[in-house]
Amino acid sequence: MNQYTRMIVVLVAISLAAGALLAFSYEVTNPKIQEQAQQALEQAVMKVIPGAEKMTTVEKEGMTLYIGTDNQGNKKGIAFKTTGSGFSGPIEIMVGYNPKEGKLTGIEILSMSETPGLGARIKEPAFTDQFKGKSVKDDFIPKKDVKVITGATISPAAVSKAIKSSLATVTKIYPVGGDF
Amino acid sequence: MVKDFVNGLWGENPIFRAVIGICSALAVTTAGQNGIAMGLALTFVLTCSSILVSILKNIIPSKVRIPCYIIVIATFTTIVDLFMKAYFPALYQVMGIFIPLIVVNCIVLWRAEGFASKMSLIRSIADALGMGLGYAWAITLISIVREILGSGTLFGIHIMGANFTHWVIMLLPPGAFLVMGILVGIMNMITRKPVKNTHCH
Amino acid sequence: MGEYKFITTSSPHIHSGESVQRIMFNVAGALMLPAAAGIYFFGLRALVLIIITTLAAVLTEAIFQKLRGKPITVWDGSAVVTGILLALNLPPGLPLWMAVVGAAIAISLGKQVYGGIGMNPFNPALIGRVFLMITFPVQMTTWINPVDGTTGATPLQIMKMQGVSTDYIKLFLGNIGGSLGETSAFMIILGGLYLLYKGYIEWRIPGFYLGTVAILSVVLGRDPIFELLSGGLMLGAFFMATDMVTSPISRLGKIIFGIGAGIFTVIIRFYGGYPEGVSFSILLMNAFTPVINRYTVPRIYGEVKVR
Repeated sequence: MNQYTRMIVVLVAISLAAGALLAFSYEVTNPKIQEQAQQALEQAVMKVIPGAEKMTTVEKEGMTLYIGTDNQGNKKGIAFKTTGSGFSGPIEIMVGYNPKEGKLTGIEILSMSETPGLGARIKEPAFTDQFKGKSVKDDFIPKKDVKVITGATISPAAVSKAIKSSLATVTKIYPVGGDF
Repeated sequence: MVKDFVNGLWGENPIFRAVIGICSALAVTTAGQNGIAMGLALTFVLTCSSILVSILKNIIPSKVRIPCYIIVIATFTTIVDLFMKAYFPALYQVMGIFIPLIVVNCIVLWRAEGFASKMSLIRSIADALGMGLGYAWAITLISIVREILGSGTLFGIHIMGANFTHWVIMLLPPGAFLVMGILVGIMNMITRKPVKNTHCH
Repeated sequence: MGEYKFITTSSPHIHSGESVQRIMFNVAGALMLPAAAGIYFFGLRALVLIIITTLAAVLTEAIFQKLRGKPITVWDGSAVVTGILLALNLPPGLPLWMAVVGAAIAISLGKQVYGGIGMNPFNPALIGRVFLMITFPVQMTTWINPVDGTTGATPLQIMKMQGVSTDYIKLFLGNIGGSLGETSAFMIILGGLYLLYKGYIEWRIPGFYLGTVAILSVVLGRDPIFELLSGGLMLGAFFMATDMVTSPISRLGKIIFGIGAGIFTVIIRFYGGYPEGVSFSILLMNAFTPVINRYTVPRIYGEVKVR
């Protein structure tokens, strides 16, 4: 075999073997990965809608909304994802909303890369709990109706702004006081 | 063989002695379990790659050896990546991009090119395990220091009491450099004889 | 040992009879003026903080040199100056153990790892302060108001958040919230003038530093007098930017250093996330010092430009 042919043969053989191995591992792990992602999503939805046991996904006006229901099939609230631009990257937030009462039912920070010890404290219940039961008609302005974190101004403001701006769209789809 | 194993653990420790592959070592070492997970992931990739490289060393033409090594390393890295995503999603969320980055971790290519491609299978395995575990204990040590000072916890368990003030810098990149620098200094102090009176004028 | 001499101009030289020790204790003496103001406004607590920080700095130096098997040079007074300077840069209510950590970091990582006095590229006291600033951001920004003892914001923070200025007289005399030693502009200027009179610092760095900040403030539509008197600017300009080890040695270099620090301070104050930028700007210019020295070498006496 001439040396160039040999090079090609070896490279192709190694690539093929690698490809086969990867295809196999992908087949093994993919269903598990999907399941994990779904589970994480459901967990987040259940967390922001108290009392919800099941969820259904609906697509409306370009937004993906998750409707949470309890075991009897009573609708408990709507959850949706929104993204704010924090101090050092995007902040992903899951927001729970109850149109009938016109109030938020809770929020959960899904992912963020804020400064540990400062901005990262938006993840703590001390910060997120204040949104529980907050009227969607509020201003969502830090230091006015949103408690802030000592030493961090940008991260809480980013969360508040993201929630407020996405609520504008959501309340159009499910107006306050209306059914859902 | 034992010598090859110990070499990676101490003598040529990738983090504290060779100071190689420190990108991931500095980035993920904010909590003890991250250090262990990253260390084991790298040990797996390194050992599997070294085995294959050592077996294939006479088949691979020298002109295309680097692409071959990279394919081998990339394959094992992707496998780790997929399995971690499937079975340890919480860890995967923290480590994120640093698992795929094992592909370009210089320790792996360094040992493949510098050792496994020239040595017997047994010696290659011993070397890969030594290097991998050497990396693992080094970054776990860095993680533990950073976790205790930065979060007041050890492997997630609160050990510093409720009134502990978190050293925020330890969770930030400068903290990683400081801790690593100080540990390298301590290692040198242990192994080297003190130099006496060498001031120059 | 311990008798280092610094020669900062071109030859020929005449020995002035100065030594590191004399300079350092004179600087420490000058620092007593702003320190006294801090103790007057913040009480005994401030005095304790200064003493503890200074002791920690001196002890760290001794321990570090002992561990490395080097001669112990704590008597040259440089650790004392670093300790006092650091204390003056801390909020008076800071927990004492944090001040000790800051002093240990300042001496060990800011000075001794580079080889001790004269070798450090950055001002050690500022290294200590910035380390504490990043490590304990909450405690480092909890300011005590000297009037009623409550915690409150510094004039610069009030300016940044609410756009409200503070009375000039208060700023000048020091009856304001802030770091221990930065409150009284009057006492700092007094200390600075003493150092100028002794010839330990040059007017060019503080002059061009303060001038740049004032001019840029006017240009950018801020109140220049407020910007000059508030925050750590006075302290930084007179006592930290002028550090012999970490600032340029040529006259032109000192001018560039002052202007650069001024620009950085203004950028951080007006556009940055922090309300105050003096320590960061001086550290940034410290990093430029070797380059500035390299390109501002004065012409050798008698040298003629080649046509």
